[in-house]
Amino acid sequence: MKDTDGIEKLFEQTPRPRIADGPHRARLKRQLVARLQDSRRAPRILRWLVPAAAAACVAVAAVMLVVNGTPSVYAQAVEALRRAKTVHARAFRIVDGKEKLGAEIWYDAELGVRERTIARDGSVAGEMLDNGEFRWTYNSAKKTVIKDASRDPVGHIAEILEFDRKLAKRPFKKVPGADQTIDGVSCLAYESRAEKQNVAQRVWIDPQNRVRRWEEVWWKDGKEVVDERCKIAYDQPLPKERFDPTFGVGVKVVDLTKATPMALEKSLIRKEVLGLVLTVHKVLRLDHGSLMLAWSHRPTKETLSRHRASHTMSSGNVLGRAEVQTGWRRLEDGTERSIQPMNIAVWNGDGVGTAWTVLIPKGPWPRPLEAIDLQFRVYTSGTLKEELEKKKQPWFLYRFDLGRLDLPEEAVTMEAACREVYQHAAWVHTRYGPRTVLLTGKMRPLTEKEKEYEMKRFGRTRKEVEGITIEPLHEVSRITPDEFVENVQANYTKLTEH
Amino acid sequence: MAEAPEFVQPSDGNGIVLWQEHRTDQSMDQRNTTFGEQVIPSRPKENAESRRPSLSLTEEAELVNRARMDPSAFEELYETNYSTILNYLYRRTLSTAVAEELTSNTFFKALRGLRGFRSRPNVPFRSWLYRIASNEAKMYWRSSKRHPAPLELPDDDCLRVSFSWAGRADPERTREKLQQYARLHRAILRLKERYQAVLGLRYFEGMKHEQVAEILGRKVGTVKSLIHRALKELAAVLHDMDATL
Repeated sequence: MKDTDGIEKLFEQTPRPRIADGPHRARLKRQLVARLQDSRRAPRILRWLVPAAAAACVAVAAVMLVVNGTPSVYAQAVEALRRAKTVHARAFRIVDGKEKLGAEIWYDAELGVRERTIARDGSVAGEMLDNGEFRWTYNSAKKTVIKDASRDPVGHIAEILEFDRKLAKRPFKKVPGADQTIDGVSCLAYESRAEKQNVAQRVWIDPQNRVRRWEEVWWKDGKEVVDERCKIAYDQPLPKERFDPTFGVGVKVVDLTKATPMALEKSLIRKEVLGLVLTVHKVLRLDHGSLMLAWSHRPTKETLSRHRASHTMSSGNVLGRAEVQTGWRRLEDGTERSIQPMNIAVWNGDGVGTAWTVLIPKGPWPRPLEAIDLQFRVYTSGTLKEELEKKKQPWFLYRFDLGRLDLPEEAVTMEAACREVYQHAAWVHTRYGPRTVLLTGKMRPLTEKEKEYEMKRFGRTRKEVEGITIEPLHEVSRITPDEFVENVQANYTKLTEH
Repeated sequence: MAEAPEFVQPSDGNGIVLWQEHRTDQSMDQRNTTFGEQVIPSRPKENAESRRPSLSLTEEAELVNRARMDPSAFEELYETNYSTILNYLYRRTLSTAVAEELTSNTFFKALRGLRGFRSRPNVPFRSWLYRIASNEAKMYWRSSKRHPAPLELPDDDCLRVSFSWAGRADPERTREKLQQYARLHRAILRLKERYQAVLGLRYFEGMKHEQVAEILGRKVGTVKSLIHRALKELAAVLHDMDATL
């Protein structure tokens, strides 16, 4: 018998408490999701300011690490910035030695965050305001504000503070003689120099471990040139009206939070193939002879049970994809006619990939279509593909007949159909996040850079790449319903011209 | 603010390059039209952990790999591990509020550190989370040692607590059992932190020596030795406590 047997028995006899999940579970998940979303959005939202402010904020954290040598000081530095009641940051481009305001950000822990981007001509290019309940994104060129659900403004600021991966690893050194008094506070200067890139980040931190100023400098002919500068002030009173959702006279507001979904519960046709289910939910006849399909692909229940780890319900169908392949038909007179698909929107979420596709009958048809035979290309991917390959079974189908779909007699305008899709996309956007649903932009040819990439990466010829056009995709909060209608109509016109 | 960005679907390597590619010089059958996956955040779905089947190590490794690029995969990891970590931290701190705060810290740190995380064969991802949570518990214990708070069992906490073998839910009985656990917990809190960690993982989380060693980053022999010394010291502390009473 061991001398610890008695105490081990006590452990056996002592009950082990188990605590039920509370609201914290959902709250933390929301915070994590907001952090993830912001980390993916930040470079695009702030473009200019974020790198500047982030670099500055992070640099100070890095400085703390070097100076004090303990991670807890780093944490304290970040915490100090996070605890700020207000933050006012201004980022400048330095042109001919003069500061040109590039962006400005106001943050109030109680009221939210507002950021303003200034164009090179000095005008306001755009603004973003998030008051914790809603987010407004203003585009001055379009004179439009898109109202959306909030994305956690505090998390947004926190994300700026944690843009640390690159800079935090750089060694910062004290710069003798570069210390400055900023806003009456004596600040120490530190520098991280990347010799090979001929660039350095320089920060000034105050006694409370907060970055007050950040600069990016480089050397031209041995002479120091300041490229960008960011000035940050903390806990100073900010005008409350800065956080009012006002963006000027005549600005149109698109309210995504009031969007209604399209009814997609019905299945007009549904078939299983390669462990996936293809479903057509809705078909509309458009007034100029085209059709619009709302359709989806998802794993079957059996597939899902075998590949649960690969398939997260919060993403789309990661086990496969499909494309409308409805091609051509031989008419009674022996001539052939084709039907061209044109995707206008895509939603990947809830374990399903959903798409809205316009089908464009090309050339003259003797009479309006009464029914259509739908064919799809179907691909499996991920672990489902691996499984099929292992079994020596095909993992894709070039042409899968989904079946014949009867078409409605009544037609709707393309504009009305597009607006309905936009409404649904907005509804998805506010519930599932900004990247879940994407709407088509206007078709454009490849840029020269893209052409070169295509030729290099895939060995395509110059002639081939000249023939390629692409359709960019936009988040719903980045385009208005009018623009979406315009994009679809422009693409339709382009395709029917040929 | 700059113009809205464009999202162009990257190539899938099969020559299908873009989200939608139009070739005016080809017939329909030769055309490539495709749209692909976009990584998306999740919709709010709460308390789903209990419905989730447990993952095999291979499946988990795959999920962890995906989580580096795919936020939704991280959510999956969160859903799978939240309750485990919360409960571990609750048993370490015996306070719902503190356990929830430390759980938040644990997951935020995991989120930040995921890129640098390297999974090892036969070591579950959860071990890494346990390690972060253990560090959080350690830091909390250090700060609370300087500012000791009375160990109370609020009614709200009691309502959320259950014991697997306590029979029918009975608040009074739950409180009684919680008091029994609290007595042991108080004694454990008097031990060195490294003893607290090994005892918690070994006896309350029911882990093998190898698992404890993996989480704490120590050798198995060291863990065994630590547990032995911790038990002896705990016995002495309990003896003192009884004597004081």
